[in-house]
Amino acid sequence: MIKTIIQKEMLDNMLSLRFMITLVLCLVLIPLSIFVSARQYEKSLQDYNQSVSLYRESMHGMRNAVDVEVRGIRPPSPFSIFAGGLEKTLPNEFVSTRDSGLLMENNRTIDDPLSALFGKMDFLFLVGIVLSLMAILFTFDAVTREAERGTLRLAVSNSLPRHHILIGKYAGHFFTFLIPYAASLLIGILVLSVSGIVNLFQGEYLVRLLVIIAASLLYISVFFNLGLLVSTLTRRSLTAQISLLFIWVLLIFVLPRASHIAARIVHPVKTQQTVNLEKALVRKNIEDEKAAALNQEFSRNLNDNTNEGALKYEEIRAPIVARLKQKENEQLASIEREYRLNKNRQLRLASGISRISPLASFTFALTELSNTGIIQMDNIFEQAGQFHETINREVHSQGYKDNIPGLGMRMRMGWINTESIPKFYMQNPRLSQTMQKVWIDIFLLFFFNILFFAAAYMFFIRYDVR
Amino acid sequence: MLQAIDLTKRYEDGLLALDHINFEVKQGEIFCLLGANGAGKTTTMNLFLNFIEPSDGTAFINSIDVTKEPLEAKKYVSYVSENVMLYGNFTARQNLDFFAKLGGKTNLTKDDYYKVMRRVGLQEKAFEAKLKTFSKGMRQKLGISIAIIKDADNILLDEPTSGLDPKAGSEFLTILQDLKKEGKAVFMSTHDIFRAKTVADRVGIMKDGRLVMLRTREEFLEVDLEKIYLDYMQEPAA
Repeated sequence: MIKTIIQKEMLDNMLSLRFMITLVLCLVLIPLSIFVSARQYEKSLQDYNQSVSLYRESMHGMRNAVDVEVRGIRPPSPFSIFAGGLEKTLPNEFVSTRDSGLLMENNRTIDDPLSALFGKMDFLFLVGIVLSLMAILFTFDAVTREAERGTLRLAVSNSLPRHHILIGKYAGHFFTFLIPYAASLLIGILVLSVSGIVNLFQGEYLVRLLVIIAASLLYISVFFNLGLLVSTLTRRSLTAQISLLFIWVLLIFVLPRASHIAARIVHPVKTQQTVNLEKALVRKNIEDEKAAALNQEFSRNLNDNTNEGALKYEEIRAPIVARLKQKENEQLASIEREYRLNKNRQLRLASGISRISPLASFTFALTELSNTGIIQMDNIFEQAGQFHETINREVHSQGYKDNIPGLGMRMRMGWINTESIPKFYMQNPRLSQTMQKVWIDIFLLFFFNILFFAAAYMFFIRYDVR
Repeated sequence: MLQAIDLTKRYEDGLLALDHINFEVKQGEIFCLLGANGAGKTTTMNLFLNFIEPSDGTAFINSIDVTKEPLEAKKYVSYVSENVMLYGNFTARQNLDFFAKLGGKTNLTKDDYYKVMRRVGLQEKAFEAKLKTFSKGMRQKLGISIAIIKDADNILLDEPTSGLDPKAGSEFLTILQDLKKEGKAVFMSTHDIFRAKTVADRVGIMKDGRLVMLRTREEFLEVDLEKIYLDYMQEPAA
């Protein structure tokens, strides 16, 4: 019986105008967005390769350990084709310096100001916004239209359990939608494969792609179930349509944006700029303290500008610098730790609130799977920090430059062969690591499906078919 | 067989829509329920189809309590509603095929569908035409063919002749007579006293939720049924 209803729903839908609109939208937008995003990725990859080779060309011969600036350059994520996420916002380069610490840079130019203004039309946008809207337009009248034209009454007059009707309606609508969706996705992936920009059919990439597709199906299904639920709660198609559009706007545009505002009010955190100023103040204070300590030692023991004096200076300087460096590191680490802790709390709160909207869960899942999300942001900062520590230890500590007020500059350049300077290689999170973070959002999408369908069932068994 | 025993329906707002109705429709019998709008005819129909539950009393289909075993009871009943809209984008045959399958008839062929549509007087060219091109009368005929194809023991018809032209109305009466000959119990609610007189074996008149008159064919042919009906309609509510 369910099969009969599914077949009827599919036929009824396929003969409708909305199916034609969905078909055209999917066939045009999905392959186009994949192709355009792939070209953008290709360009970003070329920029990355060029930056790396230019930097390596510039780093030759001997450099002094005091002034050398060591760069780390991050390649773009291939999966940014599907979800741009934070890709354009995250630093693509960082510089490890002796005096200013670690400097993050985002030197991408705005090639397309309109895209920056209106947002990128990637797969995430198409599924998250366009297809979720199509899903509710598919199902808003699933029950009300049948009630209005009397066919529901006629169907229920048979020996037909109501849950068969509801399952049939859900499956019929969803399968109909799958036709244009699967076709357009297949074309998009084929275009991507033929272009040779990135090969998605290999190992972990293929698994990521499959999980992305599964998450998108779960997400779209949430809106089918939501449409079904509202349709069982209303008597007229127009009422269902208006109610659903209102709910859709709330879920898509209001809740995800309002969540971080709420989190900022509930849990305010200092800005990154304030933290940088605090760090700069710590560095200045330590530098002053160092200068004062060295001045004292210099005046007492080392007022001698001979080579012997310089050696004695380095001998006496070392424990003072080591002590103050440790103090500086501890203070900087404390500021950074406190900031990260509070920022993470705020972020967790905002993410938690935003997850009331299925779009938030879908966005988190898709961006993490595409390595353009929050995990990748943390990963970049962590790897940049580790790289900076390595450079400090192996490069910057090989020289010094002490400005002692009233007594002048004391320095040792510490010449270093650039070949021996460690190079930065970005390590993306493994799929298993990503899945540990993403499962909650996949689970939530499941939960929304079950919740909306169960609610639709509860209302439909009591639905007045007269 | 259809049977109503003390069937009562009081809505949440206190309105008594049906007040202890008792009747039965035997196999091979046509029972017409007459009454003005709001008299309780459609409520009676809805109770037999389990669209609503009775406040008191019981509706039986083939001795099965509709409230207790609705799915079992509905196996033995077909239904034709007043305004049959059906699926406009489907052809007549596709509509018939869908509802036949819902009624449990899964092995029917195209010829079986055509045969039923011919029987209700639909033109051949309409069989594969989309329903949105159909007139109200044609849709009504298709609705009747849906009821026929289920081949249930009992048929409920809610104002089936409304909107039918005289020729279609006459053809419809012939179909009812045929169904009666096949042993079906036909329960029809209608305003159309003339058609009721033509085909009914028994007639009931409803007013304000009560069955105020019940006559066999022999009884109502001896009296002026139109006058009795109008008298009941004009009589102030009790």
